[in-house]
Amino acid sequence: MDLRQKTYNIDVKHVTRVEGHGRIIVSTGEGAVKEVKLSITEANRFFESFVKGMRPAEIPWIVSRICGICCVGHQMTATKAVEAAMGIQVSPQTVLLRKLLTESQFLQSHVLHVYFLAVPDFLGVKSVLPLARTHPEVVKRALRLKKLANDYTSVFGGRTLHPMANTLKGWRKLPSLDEIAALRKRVEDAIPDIQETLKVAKTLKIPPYERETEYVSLKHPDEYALYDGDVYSSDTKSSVPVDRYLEVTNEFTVAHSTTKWSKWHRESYFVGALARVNNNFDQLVPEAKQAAEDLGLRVPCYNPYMNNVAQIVEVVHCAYNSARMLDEVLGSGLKEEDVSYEVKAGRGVASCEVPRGILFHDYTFDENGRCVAGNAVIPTSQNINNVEQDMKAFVPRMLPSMSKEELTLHMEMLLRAYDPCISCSVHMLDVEFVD
Amino acid sequence: MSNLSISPAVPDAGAGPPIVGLGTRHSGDDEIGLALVSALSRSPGFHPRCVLLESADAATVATMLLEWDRAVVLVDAADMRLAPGESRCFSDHEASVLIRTSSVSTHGLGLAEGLGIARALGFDHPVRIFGVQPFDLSPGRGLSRVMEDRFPLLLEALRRECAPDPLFQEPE
Repeated sequence: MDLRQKTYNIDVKHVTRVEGHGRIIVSTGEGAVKEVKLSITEANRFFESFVKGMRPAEIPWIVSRICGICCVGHQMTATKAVEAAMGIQVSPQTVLLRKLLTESQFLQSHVLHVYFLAVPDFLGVKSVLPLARTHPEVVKRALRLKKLANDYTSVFGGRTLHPMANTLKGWRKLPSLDEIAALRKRVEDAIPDIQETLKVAKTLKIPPYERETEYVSLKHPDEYALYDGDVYSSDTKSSVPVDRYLEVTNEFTVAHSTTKWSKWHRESYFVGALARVNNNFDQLVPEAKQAAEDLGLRVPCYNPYMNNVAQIVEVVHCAYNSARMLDEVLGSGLKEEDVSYEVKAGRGVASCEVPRGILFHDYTFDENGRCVAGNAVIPTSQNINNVEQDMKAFVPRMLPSMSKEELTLHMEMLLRAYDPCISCSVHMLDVEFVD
Repeated sequence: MSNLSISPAVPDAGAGPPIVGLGTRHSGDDEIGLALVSALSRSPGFHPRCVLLESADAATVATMLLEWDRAVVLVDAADMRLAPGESRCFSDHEASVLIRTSSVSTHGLGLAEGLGIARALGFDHPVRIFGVQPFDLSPGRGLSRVMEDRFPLLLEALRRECAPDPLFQEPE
């Protein structure tokens, strides 16, 4: 079809939710793509201001509230940053428990996103509601896996959201070994559900779109980096220490977004499951590597829609790796540890991988232990620039073969594939055409 | 108050329909469901039935309903085009009409979706929703002044709605 026959003005507007607003604007005509914009009009949250004047131990619990999905990740990253500022060393037991808590959150978040937000797109239904009618076993399985992940977080964090059991230097209340043993059995029992998840994933028709970009994630010499590591770039094939994160994020502003954008070695970069799998594939557990192969995810993968597949691969990784770590805890037992520390002035920077990508926290304290400065750079703000670059490449490539409706759907799917924290609003968007 | 957590045990089956407070504690009046049920739990006879589900997503709500497999009362902020602080109690069959924006949810899947998933998967018990029209849902802790002023009346209305009611019995 002659491109000039296609004059589209697509404006996917907002629905306001606390997690944010996203707006997709596409304008084509006279044989050219005139405009493609991903507009973010989410208001500032001011958490970096909230933390000023707070004591060290208060900060992880406050910043947990940044997100109801990534609460563990914000808490964990803040904990590590505050500990770095205070010069606190943590025990191997604490690191192990934190890794378990971290993987529980990956399971929670990825199951929620894959089953409840992404799968309906690929199966051609509007949401999870019709899916529950047409594929009840799929949704029941999703609920079982989500419940397991929620309970997993509760065992180690004391509750499902915004955990309170963990604190600086260790745990305020350790889980019992009986609870851990019961959880270990449930993880084992969930393996058939995970295998069935892979079968569903195999049926998904992933749009055949590729655009190479820079993939950024943590990298650790000894493990698939979720809890710790240096910042790795697929462009340079090298890492920089986390405390140089400002050289990575290079935040800047654009007129159509209240979210700061980021870029490192090129115009934009990608963070999240696909970046992690691309950068650290060899450190996945064997079952996850096999899942990637079965699902057609071969690294390096440049298809952003495959981020959902990478999330499923990480579900497999976290399930099997959690089982191994739970066995380790059950084998060694847990002992109460001293969590006291001395307050001092200093600055600490830390990073964790959270489900949506690499997260940075940075705090400075005065000599009284009061926070005087805070900074958090979240994955979604790092990804937004790359999403827009994907859209700008996608529209002219796909315009000849797609109707306006197909193009709109694929643009929304593209944004959702990144699993942004603004997906709550994007997912509920009404589509309005202004021809 | 062991049941007043976000990982609730199944309430005592003999005590009457569970009363579930929903919402978040950091978005102004979205806390109203949690605040009302928390206060109600201190009234004689109500404590065993009271459950708080803070920041619950659709999957959690659906799982709770399917596991409990019994009638419930859900208390939440809801945009019903009423005056701020006004309340209304209705069945979930009306919910898709009446709940225009339910409580702050995770990734766009909130109470209405949770109920819908549970219904689609076979949950067939009565559900009553005690909705309260919010005034201010902006980020921050604490109820708005409007809601605080209305709180005693709302609590009394909820207590009346949740009192033993022969019309709200499970079918024989």
